[in-house]
Amino acid sequence: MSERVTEAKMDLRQRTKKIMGSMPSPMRAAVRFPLHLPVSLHVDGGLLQALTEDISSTGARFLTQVAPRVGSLLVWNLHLPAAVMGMPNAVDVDCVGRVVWTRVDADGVRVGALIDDYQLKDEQA
Amino acid sequence: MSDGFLDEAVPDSEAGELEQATVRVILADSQAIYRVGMRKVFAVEDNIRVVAQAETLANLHIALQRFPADIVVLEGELLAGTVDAIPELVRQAPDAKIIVQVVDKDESNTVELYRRGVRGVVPRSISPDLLIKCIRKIAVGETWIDNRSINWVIDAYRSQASAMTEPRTQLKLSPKELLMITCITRGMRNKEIAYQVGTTEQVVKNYLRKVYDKLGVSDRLELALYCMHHQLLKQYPTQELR
Repeated sequence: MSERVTEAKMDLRQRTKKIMGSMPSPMRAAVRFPLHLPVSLHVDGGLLQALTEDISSTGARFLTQVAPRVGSLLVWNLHLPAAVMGMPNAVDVDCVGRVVWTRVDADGVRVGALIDDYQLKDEQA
Repeated sequence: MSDGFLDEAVPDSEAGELEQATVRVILADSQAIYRVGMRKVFAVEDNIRVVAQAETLANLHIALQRFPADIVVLEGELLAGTVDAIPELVRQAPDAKIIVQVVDKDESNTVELYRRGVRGVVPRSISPDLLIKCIRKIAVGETWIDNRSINWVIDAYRSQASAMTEPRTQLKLSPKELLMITCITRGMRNKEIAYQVGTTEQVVKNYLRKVYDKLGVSDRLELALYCMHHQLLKQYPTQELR
């Protein structure tokens, strides 16, 4: 299972690198959903625990304790629980993106990221 | 040409010598007469160069792979029956800005086009001068939008933002539409869904368009996030796959 996740992440990384060349700064047009989900951010070879504060189809805002470098490639998995989704299995979304801003405040570090690519999959698959 | 688009494109070496300000255009239009006409219009412009032409959406994807472009002038009819055509083009060629030519401008179609990432929606009957002006504006990063369309977009943005993040009354979704949602959130591709449901990919696309329109979402991730935020599938009995 973990090997398949790693493979999927590698695949997503490769696909993302292809399209990241000279990406323009996109306008924020997508609706943000205020979902609070714990995630592990793979960034700069390390792992960062974070909580999503809002998510859209093009980006996400995280709350974490360490500020990643702006421009870093981010890989994370959104776990949408079965019970909340109303489905027999949870839904996993593998996301690849990059850090576009960070802001330190009283709660920790807020991180804004763009989602460059994602892949939805059934937990059981 | 065997691959369906003219190979009159600028060879790489020559393209490299062109001035930076040159706007590279791909014409995607099913009607040769429009392509020929537009090409003639652009031919007299110093810094607008048609690098490729495509008569189908599939050929446009190939053209975008082979010829970096700043602008795609796309016939709206080529989008008929598609669901994610614009986001896919944007994803494939994020630097290419899309202008869609439509026969009739209507509110929902115009809003949807801008929402999905096009930079300009113009009528098929646009005058040559105006089309050139539009291309130049969009090439430098602006959006081409008339006052009526601005109002449509703002109204849609307001109502969508409130509709998507606030509780709403129960939507009327058919069992087939719910099945599609379940399949999509399970990560299935259109082809797989068609196989599971026992229909064609085109029918799946039609259902998806209806679902996207009903919920006001624009892609699969937004659909999944919507389902979670509103706990949509909990309101209905589980949709079983065959």
